[in-house]
Order: sequence, then C-alpha cells, then structure tokens
Amino acid sequence: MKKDTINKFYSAYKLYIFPAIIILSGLILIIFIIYPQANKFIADQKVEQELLKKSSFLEDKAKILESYDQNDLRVNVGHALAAYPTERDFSNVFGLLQNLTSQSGYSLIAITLGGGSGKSGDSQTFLLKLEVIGSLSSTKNLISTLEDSPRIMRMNSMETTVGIDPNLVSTFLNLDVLYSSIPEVFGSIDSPLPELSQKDEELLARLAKAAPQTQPQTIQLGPRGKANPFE
Amino acid sequence: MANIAIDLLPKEFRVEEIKRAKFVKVQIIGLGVILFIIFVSSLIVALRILQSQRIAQINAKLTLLEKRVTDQKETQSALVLLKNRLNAIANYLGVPSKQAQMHKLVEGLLPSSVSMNTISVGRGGEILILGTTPSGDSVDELLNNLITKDSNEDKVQSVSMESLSRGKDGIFRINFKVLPKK
Repeated sequence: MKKDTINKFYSAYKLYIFPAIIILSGLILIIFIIYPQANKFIADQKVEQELLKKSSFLEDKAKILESYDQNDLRVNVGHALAAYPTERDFSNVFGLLQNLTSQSGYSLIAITLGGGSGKSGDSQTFLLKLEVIGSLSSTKNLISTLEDSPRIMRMNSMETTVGIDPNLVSTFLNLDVLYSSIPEVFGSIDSPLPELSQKDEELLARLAKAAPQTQPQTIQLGPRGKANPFE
Repeated sequence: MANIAIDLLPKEFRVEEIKRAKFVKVQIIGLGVILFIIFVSSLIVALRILQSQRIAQINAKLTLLEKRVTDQKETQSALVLLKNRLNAIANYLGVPSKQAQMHKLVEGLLPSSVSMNTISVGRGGEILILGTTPSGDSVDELLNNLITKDSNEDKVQSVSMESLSRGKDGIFRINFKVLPKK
C-alpha cells in the first residue's frame, strides 16, 4: 500500500521531484567536492610556484658555492683578516709599524700601548702611542703611509715639535688600530649569497699584494675539536 | 479529395503525451547536468592528485638541494665573513681620517716663510700651530688662506688667533687654532 502511494505521488509530481533530486545532487557535489578541491588546487598552485622558485634558487646557490676554490677563498679571507682582524694583534702591528715608519723616512723610538679600547663606527680600536723622529717635510707622508697601510688604522691625534734642525722633528702620534669580532650570523640556507663586486676583487688584489707585510690570520668557522675525542 | 485528419484519441491521452514528452526532456537535461558535474568533479580530483605528486617530487628535490647547500656551509660562512671585512676595509682604505685631512690642509696652506715650532692635531681634527715668521704679510696670507673657502676646501669652521706677538728681533710669533667643519 505504501509503495503504491509513493508511486502514485511520484507519478503525479515527477516533473518537479526529478529536477529537485538532480539539483540537490549537483549542489552536494559542488559544495563538498568541486568547491573545496578547486580552492585547494588554486592554493597549492601558489605553493608549487614558491617551491619551484626556492628549488631554482637553491640549485643556483649550490652551483655557485661548489664553484668556489676552497684554497683561494681561505687565502682571501686570510688577507682580509690580516688587514682587519677579529682581535687585537699587537705583535703583528708592532712589526708593521717599524716597517712603515722607516719607509716614510722616520725612526721609531718607542711604541706604547694605550689603555682600554675604543670604538670607531662599527669597529673596535686599541690605541698605540708612537714616538718617532724624522724630517718635518715627511710628516704628511708618514700619516698617509700609516693610514693607507694594509693593516687598518687611523690617526687619533698628533703632536710634532720642531727643533733647530727641521730634519729632526720629534712626533708623538696616537693611532687607533681597528679590529672587529666576526659576525654572529653567517646566513641560513635561504639567505642569498653575498656577491663580490669588481671593487671587492680590486681590494682583494691590493690586500694580497701587501700580504707579505702582514701575517694572515686564520680562523676556523666550522666545528672545533677532535673528530674522535676518545683517541 | 483533401486529406481530413480526425483525432479519435481522447483529450486526456493527448495531455498525458505532452506531459510524458516534457518529462523526457527534463530527464535528458537533468542527466546531462549531473553527468557534467560528475565529470568536472572527477577532473578536479584528478588534477589534485597530479598536483600532489608534483609537489611531492619538488619537495624531494628540495631536500637534496638543501643538503647540497648545507654541505657548503663553511664556504658560505667564509664568503659572508670576506664580504663583511671587505665592506669595512673599503670604508677606511684610501679614505683619510679627518685629522689627516686637516693636517695636510693646514700644512699645505702655510706660506714658505712661516716656520712651524709645534703642530698638534686633536681627536676632532682641530689643529694648533705655534710658528714664527719674519714677515707680517705672511701672517695675513696664512689667515687669508685659512678663512677663504677656495683655499681651505670648505673644511674650516673657524680660525682663532690665540696669540700674536712681535719680538725685538722683528720675528712674529703666532699661535693659532683651526677648527674643522663637522
């Protein structure tokens, strides 16, 4: 009986029931499958593009890193650190100052280490007090030789006293010798590599040329200690 | 004789036929719509599966690349350190300090007849000179050189004559201070 009623009802209203079922099914498919999947597809397209971009970036970065000659790089870092080291390098600077003063026609009488440390911009400094004797006309040359030396230093202050003989002036020169600790952050996997410009290459060549005058400083960047501590 | 069409079927039958024909149309359209929607759903699901596979492949490649870059960590560190140092060195090498510049400037502006007894350069680049000269004109020339923009390269803030005297021997003794521009 019930079945007959349903059949009769369906037959009477099938023109409305059938489209309603079609529309309902279509809506269910659209709401639960098409719409969320389409949204996820669009979102994942962006993710895919970013992953491709990252992949391309890392591939280029890996190629560039692998193309560097480790020895050359180590030598260049050594030269740069010799010019601008990570810590105070008294013995290196003392030897260098003797050479530079004699190159400028001056005689180095005494070097005294000043107390404490200072700052010059982003750099740290230690003070050296020089007592030199030479010609008055060579004072300018002395200052520029010191400031252009392969070891970075700046004139702090100076006092020159001229005696009877202008070829024998006594000069007290205070020098700020610069140094700076190594950077704390060396970049992550995703960070771009620094590029060495033409000016950087020229500077490196200049430092390399002056290298015999300074002692390169080596610095270990990776893990330290024994590979096997039990040996 | 013209054909005469007489419909002997009852009216209700005709109405039933029209309804049936309408329903068939509705069925065809409905099935067409639902099949289309099913097709679109299948297409989107298939695209999603392919996309997921592609993303998995890219992720696998990324893992390998990250390992390659990590293996070169020391090289990267060396490069960062090198660039850091070169940037700092470039700021100083070949760039004279203010003290050196002022010393060079003032020494260059001294007339030849002025003899220096003492020259001091302070931390801020201030210059203090004690000198002597037999000529008053030289004193004028010196001061003129120091205060004129053309000759002092616009680096001098002020010149103060601390003392000026003339001895019985006719020699001028001068003590002056030059302050640099900031």
